[in-house]
Amino acid sequence: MTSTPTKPQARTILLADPDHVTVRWLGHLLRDRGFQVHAASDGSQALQTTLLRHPDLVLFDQACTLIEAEAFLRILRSNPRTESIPVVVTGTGDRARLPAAQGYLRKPFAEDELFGRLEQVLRGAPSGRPSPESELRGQLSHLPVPDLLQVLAVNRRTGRLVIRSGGGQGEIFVVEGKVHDARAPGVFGEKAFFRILAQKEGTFELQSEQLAVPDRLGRGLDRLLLDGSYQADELSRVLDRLPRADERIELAGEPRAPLEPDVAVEQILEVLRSGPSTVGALIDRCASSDLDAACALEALLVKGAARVIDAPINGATEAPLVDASQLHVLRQRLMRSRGTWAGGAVAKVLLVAGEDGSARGAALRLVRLPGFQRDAVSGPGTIAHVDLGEGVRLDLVALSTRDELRPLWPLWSAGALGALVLDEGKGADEAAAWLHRGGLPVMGARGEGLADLLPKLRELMAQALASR
Amino acid sequence: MRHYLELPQSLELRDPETGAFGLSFFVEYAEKELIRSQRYGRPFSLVTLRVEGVRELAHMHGAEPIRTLLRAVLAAVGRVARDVDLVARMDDEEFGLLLPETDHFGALMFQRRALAAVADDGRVKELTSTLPVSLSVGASTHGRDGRDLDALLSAARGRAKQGRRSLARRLASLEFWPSVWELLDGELSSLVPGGGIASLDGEDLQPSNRRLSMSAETMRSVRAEVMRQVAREANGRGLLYASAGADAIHASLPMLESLSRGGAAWTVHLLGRRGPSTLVHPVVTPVYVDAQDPICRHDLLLYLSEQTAYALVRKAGEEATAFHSSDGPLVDHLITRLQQAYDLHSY
Repeated sequence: MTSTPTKPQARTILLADPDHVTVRWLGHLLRDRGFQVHAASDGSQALQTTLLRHPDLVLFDQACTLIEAEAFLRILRSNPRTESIPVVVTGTGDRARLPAAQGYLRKPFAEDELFGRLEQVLRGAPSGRPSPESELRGQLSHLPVPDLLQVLAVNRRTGRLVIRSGGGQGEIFVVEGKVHDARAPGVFGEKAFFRILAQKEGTFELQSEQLAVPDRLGRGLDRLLLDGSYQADELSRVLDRLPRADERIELAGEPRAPLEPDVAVEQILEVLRSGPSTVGALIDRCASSDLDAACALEALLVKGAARVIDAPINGATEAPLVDASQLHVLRQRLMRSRGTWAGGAVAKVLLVAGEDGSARGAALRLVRLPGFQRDAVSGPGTIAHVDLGEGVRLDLVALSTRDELRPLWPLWSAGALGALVLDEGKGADEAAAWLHRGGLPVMGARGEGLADLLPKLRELMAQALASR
Repeated sequence: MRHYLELPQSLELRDPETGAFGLSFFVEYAEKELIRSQRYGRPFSLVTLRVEGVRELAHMHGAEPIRTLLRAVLAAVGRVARDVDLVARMDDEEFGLLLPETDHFGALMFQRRALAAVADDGRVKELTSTLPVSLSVGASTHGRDGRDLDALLSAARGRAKQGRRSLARRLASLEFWPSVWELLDGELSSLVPGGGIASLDGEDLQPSNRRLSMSAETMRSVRAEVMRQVAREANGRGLLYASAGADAIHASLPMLESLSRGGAAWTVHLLGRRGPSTLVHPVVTPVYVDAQDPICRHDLLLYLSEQTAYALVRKAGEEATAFHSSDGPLVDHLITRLQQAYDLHSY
């Protein structure tokens, strides 16, 4: 799914079966067909894995102990996060009476029957019910999701709108033209809806059928589309400021500044308490919307409650910010000016942004720089520094473009080597013009340019060290 | 024959009305100083002093009283100038001062002393009672503001112009705390005719003055950054006056550890109630006040260095009214008045 921070994943199947031979054989077969497989040897383990991994389908054997199939299904169906996970019960006896299951497979399995059933369930067409009528199908590139939903709303249609893309399958449940619920791999409700809404590529298919789905979204279509558009725009901005989706985050102890009470913050903290997690997984596992989850994660990083693992010197993987000759020039310049003291020499570069959090978020993109370290203060001012070697330190100072903080500009920019402008808008333009008029090299690293923050910083340093 | 040769030279060398050097001598001398500064890397500053209103008054009162006034002003300035400093007349109203071996902070100090000397001079006071004039001064420094005379003159005149628009002019008659209260609570229209404080910025986007609601957290961040800036300019010269609760100050003090204990030319005054001291440093001077002192009800940061000036005053509290400014003359006014109010050593 293009809007999510995670990469497209293979569909995941959980094999809950105490028989290791079956698990090994079946696991091998499933992996050969491109599935990702998890295994559990009893019902309790299966439940734990389901809650944690959120598989696309569970094959639950009746021989599982600790939690039996019926209890397993009841627990899954009572939790909104797991209620949609299809479960196929397996066993050697007669078909069990388990209406909450998506089917029963008798051992020993016939391969064709097994995969036929799995495909059927994964396509969302449960056995035992007539196949829904598929009346509308096509490419999202021809008819985007918002337009599709408006067509369904005008015609007061009821059914499941199935969206398939490289990121997996998503479903939007529409009742008389009104969106009631949505599901995407691992997520449901509003979070899933906004993800599906942002899909730009893939196929769609409307399966008309009677649905008894509660209205989990509780808003009209216009409002949902408006919110979805806002969420997509904002999420893209916040993700730009966060570390990469595959970077790992851990708890960092007491925050430097008090955290605002927030549901998403609590959810992210809860996940982190169980151990480090990647940025992508954190956003996935947070029940709040992707935007709320990303904002919460950013707040935790900015306020020091969470940190990127291996961010400082040890985990550095980038080349040093300046080469030996540039370092020599900088050192000489600092020695000539008065920015030296017994402990070394200090230079600074400004990160110009409307909010301090933006600059802090952007600075996180420099974590792999040798010598990078975030500073333990909140609010405007120095947010991080880079030890360049030979006793030379480069401070990264957030210069806020907020109007009421303008008197700080001369103080903040005094002695600066240059400025990177991270934001757009009148305030940022005025700050850039003012700094430029003061003779500072000023470069833009706005919007998409944030991804290139480190190359921009290198370019700025090269320009600053060559120009004076 | 000798008389005719010397006369033009004499006229060029000295301004007959005031005894100051003439413009051509000033230019020649300045060019040599510039070459010397570039060759040996020595500091060199320039100050412009404008006596405003002279032309109009000359029309009303004639040339002689104005000539007398200008001489009195220059005599007062001459008392604080060194032998090596050179004063020259640039035009009817403006004088230029060349200050060899003087960095920007030294030029600011000179500027301040010169204004104080003129203000305290009995003869000038007597004359200005009937001939109301005002002085505007601006300083620039070789290297920092440019490398040729035109650039230095332009920078000094720009600062003099900024000084004429400064809020300091409107607070000139007020002592320290009345100045602070005016900035925090006064009618903005009384500070700036026709608009708010922000309108002072004018067309050149000079980010000078703002009144705002500031959180305690932002105050702490600004204070910490000011301390960092002191550390960054450790080998430069500057002044810092800071006040707040003892805890807040001491949290930022470790940043000052980087200042040289031997040769640092910084003066840091910490004002507040007597509390546990975590830093004993030659540049730090504690100033203790009693519990009733207004300092205990305000946060205060006054910063003046070779590079920039900044003032922040704020009422105590989690979220409170604050005023901050990068208006150099205003910062200087507040520092002067603070020094007077608390009998602190003036520079």
